[in-house]
Amino acid sequence: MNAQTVQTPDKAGLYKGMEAVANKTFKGRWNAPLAGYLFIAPWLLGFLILQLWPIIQSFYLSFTEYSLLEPARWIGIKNFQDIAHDRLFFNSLKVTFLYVIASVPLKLLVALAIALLLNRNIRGISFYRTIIYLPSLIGGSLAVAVLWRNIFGLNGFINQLAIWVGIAPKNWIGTPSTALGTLVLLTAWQFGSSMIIFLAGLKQIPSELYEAASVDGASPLRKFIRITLPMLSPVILFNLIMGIINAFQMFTSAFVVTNGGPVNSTEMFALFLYNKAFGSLQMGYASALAWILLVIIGIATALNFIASKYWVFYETETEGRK
Amino acid sequence: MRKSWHRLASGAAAVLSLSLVLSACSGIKKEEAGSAEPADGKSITLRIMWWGSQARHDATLKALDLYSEKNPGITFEPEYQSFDGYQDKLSTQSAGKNTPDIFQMDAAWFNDWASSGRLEDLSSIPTDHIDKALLETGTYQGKLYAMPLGNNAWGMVYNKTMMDSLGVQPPKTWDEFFAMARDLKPKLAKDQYLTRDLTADGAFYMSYQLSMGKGFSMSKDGKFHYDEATWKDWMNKWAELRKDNLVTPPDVTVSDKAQDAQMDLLIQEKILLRGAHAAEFGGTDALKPGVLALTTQPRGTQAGGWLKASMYWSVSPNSQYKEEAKKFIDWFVNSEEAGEILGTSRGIPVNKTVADALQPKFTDVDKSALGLINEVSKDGAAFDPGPGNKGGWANFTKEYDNITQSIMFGKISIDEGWDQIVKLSKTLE
Repeated sequence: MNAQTVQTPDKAGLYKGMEAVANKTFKGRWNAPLAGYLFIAPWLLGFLILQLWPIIQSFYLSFTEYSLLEPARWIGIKNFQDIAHDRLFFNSLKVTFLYVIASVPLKLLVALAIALLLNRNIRGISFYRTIIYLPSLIGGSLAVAVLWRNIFGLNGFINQLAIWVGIAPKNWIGTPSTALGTLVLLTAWQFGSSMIIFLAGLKQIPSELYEAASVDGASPLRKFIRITLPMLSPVILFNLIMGIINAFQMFTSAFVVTNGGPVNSTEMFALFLYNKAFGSLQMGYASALAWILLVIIGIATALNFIASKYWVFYETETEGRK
Repeated sequence: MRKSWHRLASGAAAVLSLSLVLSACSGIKKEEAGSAEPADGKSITLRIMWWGSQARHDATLKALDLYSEKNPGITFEPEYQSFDGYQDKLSTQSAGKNTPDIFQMDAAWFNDWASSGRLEDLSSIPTDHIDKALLETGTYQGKLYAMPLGNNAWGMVYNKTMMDSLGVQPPKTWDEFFAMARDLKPKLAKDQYLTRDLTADGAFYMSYQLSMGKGFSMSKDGKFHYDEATWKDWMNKWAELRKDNLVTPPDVTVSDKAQDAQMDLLIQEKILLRGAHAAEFGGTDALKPGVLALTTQPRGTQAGGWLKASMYWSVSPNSQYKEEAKKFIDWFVNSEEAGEILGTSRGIPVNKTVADALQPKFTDVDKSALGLINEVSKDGAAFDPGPGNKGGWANFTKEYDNITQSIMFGKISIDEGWDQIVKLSKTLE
């Protein structure tokens, strides 16, 4: 930040004094006004006390054996060694990766398709947008997870549909091969926030581009591939990364709809971690799992950023390149 | 000048809002601390926590009100919820040294808690009229750490209306049980069965092993007690029934959720019986009034059920009001006025005098529960609370479910399953 712009000439003496002290202490790096820090102080303190401190603690706990009932005992890297031999850990990794790979693209496709539908100028479009976004407001909630359990359950809507079209009814949630699929569908159903972001991205695309393409006789499909997708790619990247981060941490629906079953076919990483922490009271082990998850998400995000160089197009780059 | 004032004011506003946030936090703390430090030494607040159904909440709150009325200066700060998540909450509170003064305790966790010094010695509370066997279950190394609150027994609940109309009695022995699963099926609808597939039901297997004279499969000594021959015999019997479509298919079996109006297979009339505790019968009956009845677990060479305490009160050793807490528990279990309000909300009262005084007021549901308890008490086993979560048992229980479910879904054979269980038992300390 430029110091010149901050130092306005009419400063109250008190304020000037404070900044002078600050400038001296931090050798000129403390340029932002103190008031700004005061403004963010509630949030900052909340972050330090309620987030950073527990994060540090969990790092320490990951090297201990801690059952909540007895004090934590330092055991070095034993938790990590045990995890490396834990069959259920690898099972939960497998389930989670399957879920991420299936649910994130599906959710983005649904969100993009609906955003395209809602990106037109017809009467009452804002009403439709509201209606379609509405389910997503409650999508991640417990109530919807319970609803889902009933829809796919033995006497649920899906089975009534199945009987009607002549398919043998079954408990979709209770069958190992289909249980994860129901959770993927539930995730896709929560398309709302990605859809809103796509919609905003679509509105940013200048209409001249489409007009020019029309003049050149481009088909709608070609326009979509040549104009919409490249122009939207930064938004797609954002949604992709957020989707992956969220999917890796998915907990509520796995906990409520299937509770990890049957035969651990939906035991997601976060649920496995929760069960270790509160089911078996292995807080140290669970903390170690949390740090492993952090590393996995970090790597996944980094890979996405690296790969994005090859497919994400930023408008501002054009001048630099050519 | 005006601009700088503006800034100063906004800065001040930020500080003010911050201090409000902080004081809001400390306000909560203060309330708790205030209750812990009575100004005049007379007015104190006891924190008390339990799990249960709505009926139990109502009865308990009423009892607390009466106690406060009779003991001026003592008020309660109750925390109550359903069983789901109760243990998580209690453990977390314990880690923060913030357990309530009085809290409900379960037999399955009792040893973990008593052995780690998390419970206060309650031996000073009079227990003359309380069943000695039940008191024993709340005792650790000669000291009473958990006061039993109700009698309970493990048996079965069955659909009496349907069994009557089919002209059958609930099975008394395992031979009758398995034969009935076969014989009854032709008389039932396509998706109706005598029982769900019990392959992955650890509690039922425990009863089976017990009834075959091989003792509890899990016990508080923390050692591995699964009997290979009995276990494989059990698994083979279920595999046969499953193969012949005489029990619920696996996907239906795992969907069963006891006491859930939508998902309980017994309530949905998909099965005719299931394992049950006497003290839960009120809740089950409410979902299907007048249709269900209780009976004992099937017998093998001996009885397969057991008697246990429904739940306990324990006191936190960190409580500042241990004596007041103990006095309250004494009143709760030993006084007839408390018994009258509480009824059978925690099972049949443990105090014989209280239970006798209550008897004329028993409803049919209470009488059924009492009937099962009396039946089981003839020759049922004393309850073994099991190994708790320590020494790798929490992990064992979880993996055991996984292995037996894999057998049920046909992913592994019974012999493979047994080998995995034996391998798993080597990890127990």
